[in-house]
Amino acid sequence: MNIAVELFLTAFGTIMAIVIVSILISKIIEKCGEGS
Amino acid sequence: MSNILIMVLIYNVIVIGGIGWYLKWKEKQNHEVTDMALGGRDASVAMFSVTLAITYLGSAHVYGLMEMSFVLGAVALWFCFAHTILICVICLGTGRWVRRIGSATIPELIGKLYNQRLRTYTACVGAMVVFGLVTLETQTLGIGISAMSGWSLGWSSVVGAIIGTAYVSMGGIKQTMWVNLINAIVMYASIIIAGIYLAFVLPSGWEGVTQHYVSHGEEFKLSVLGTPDLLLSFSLAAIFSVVFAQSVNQQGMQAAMSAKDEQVIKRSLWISAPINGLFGVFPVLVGLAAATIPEFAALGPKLAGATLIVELLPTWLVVLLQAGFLGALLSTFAMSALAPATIFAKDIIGANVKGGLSPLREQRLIRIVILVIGAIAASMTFFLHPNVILAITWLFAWLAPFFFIIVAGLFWKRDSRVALVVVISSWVVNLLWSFTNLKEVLGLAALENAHIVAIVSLITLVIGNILTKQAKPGLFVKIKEPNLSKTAHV
Repeated sequence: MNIAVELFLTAFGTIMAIVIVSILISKIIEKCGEGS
Repeated sequence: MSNILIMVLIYNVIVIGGIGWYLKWKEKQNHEVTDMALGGRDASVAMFSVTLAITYLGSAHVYGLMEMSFVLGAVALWFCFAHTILICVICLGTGRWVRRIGSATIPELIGKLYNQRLRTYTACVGAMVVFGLVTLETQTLGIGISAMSGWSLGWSSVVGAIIGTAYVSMGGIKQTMWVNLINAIVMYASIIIAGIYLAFVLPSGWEGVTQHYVSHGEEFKLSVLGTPDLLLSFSLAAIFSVVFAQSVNQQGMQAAMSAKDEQVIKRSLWISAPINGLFGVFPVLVGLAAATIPEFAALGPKLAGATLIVELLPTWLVVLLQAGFLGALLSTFAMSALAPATIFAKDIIGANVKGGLSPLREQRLIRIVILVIGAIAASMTFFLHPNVILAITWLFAWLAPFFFIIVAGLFWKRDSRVALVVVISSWVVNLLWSFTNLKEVLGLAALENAHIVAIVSLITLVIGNILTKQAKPGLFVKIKEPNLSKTAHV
C-alpha cells in the first residue's frame, strides 16, 4: 500500500474514531445530567 | 497576467456573481430583506455542514500544512485532527447551546448570561480580534494570487480583499453558504484527481517518496505518530490552542446560529468532520513529496509544495486546485469579515439604539461595515505582512476566556463580577506575555499565549466561582424544586 493511500485511511479512521468517541462522551454527559 | 490567474478569476466571478445575482432576484421576487447575519436561520444539514467545515479550512490548512509536513512529516496531520475535535465540540456542544438560546452573536450570549456591560466589552475586543484575523486572511489571499500572477504581495492582497469583500457583501451568510457548497465540490474533486495524478508524475511515484525517507533514516516522517516527543509537543499544542480559542469564535458560531435547529447542527458532525479533516491529507502528501525531490526541496519549506503543484500538474488541474484553494481562503475571509460586521451592527449599535435596528437598516449597516473592513484590511496588508501563524496564535488567545465564562455560565453558576475579573486578568496576562519578558522570568517560555491565557482563565474562574456568594445558577442548570424542574429559560 503506498503512502498516499495509507495516510488517507489513517486520517479517515482517526477522524471517525474521534467523532464516535465524542458522540459517546456527549451521550454519557447527557445521561449524567438527566440522572442528577 | 497569467492564464491560470485569469481562469481562476473567471471561475470565481461566475460562481460568486451568479449566486449573488440569483439571491438578489429571489429577494425581489419574495419582497424580502436579506438577513445578512443569519440568513433567516434556515440552513439545512448540507449548507451548515459544508460551511462549518470550510470556515475552518483557511490559510494554515492550505499553505501551512505543506510547510509543516515538509519539516515535521506526517505528524502534521494532528493539526487536522485538532480541528476534528473542534468540530465535535461545536456540533455536540457550543454550536447547539448558542442555537438553543437564540443569540446572534457571542457577545449577545455573554450579555444574556451576565450583563450588558460585559456584552459591550467582549463585543469590542471580539470584533477587533476577528478584524485582526481578516487582515491575516487578506494576506493569505494575496499569497495565493501572488503565486499565480507573480505580482507583489501588497497588490495581490488588495485584489484578494476586493474579491473577498464583493463575495460576502452581496448576500451575507446565505451567499457564503451557497458558494461554499459549490467550492467544496470543486475543491474535493480537484484534490482527489491531483492525488492520483501525482502518483504518475512524481519522479519515482509514491514508492519513491517512501524509499527516500526509509533510506535517510527518517521513517518516522511517514507515520502520523512521528516520534514520541514530536507527537506530544505538536499534537497537544495544536489541540489546546485550536479547541479553546475557536469553539466559541464568532465565525463558527455564526454558522451555528444560522442553522435551522439543533438537530441540524448535531447531524452535521458526520459530514463536516470528515470534509474538514480529510482535506489536510493532500497538502501533507505534497509537503512530504516536495521534500524528497532536490529541485523543490532547495526552495525551502514555504515554497516547495506550492511550486511542485504548479510544475508537475497540468494547467487545467492547477486551475481547478487553485480555484478550490482560493474558494477555501475566500470562505474564511468572508466569515471573518461578516463576524465583526455583525457584532458591530448588533452588539455595539443595535443593542444601544432604542427599539433596535430595523432589518433593512441592519442589512445596510452590515454591508457598509463589511466594505469598510475590507478597505482597511486591504490598505493595512498592502504595507504590513506579519507572520501568519504567530499572529493567529496571539489573536486566538484573546478569545480563550470566552469559552470558560460561557461554559460556566451555562452549566455551573454565573456572577458578572467574576466573569469580568476572568476576562480582564486573561487579557492583561496576554499583553504581559507578549510585550514583557515575564515568561522568561517565570521560566515558562515554553507556554504560548493561548496556553497561559487558558490556564489563567480556568484558575481565576474556578476560584472566583467557589468564593462568590451572589452567583445565579447556570442557564441550563436544572432547578431542583418539584414544580420548577424544567431547564431554566432565558
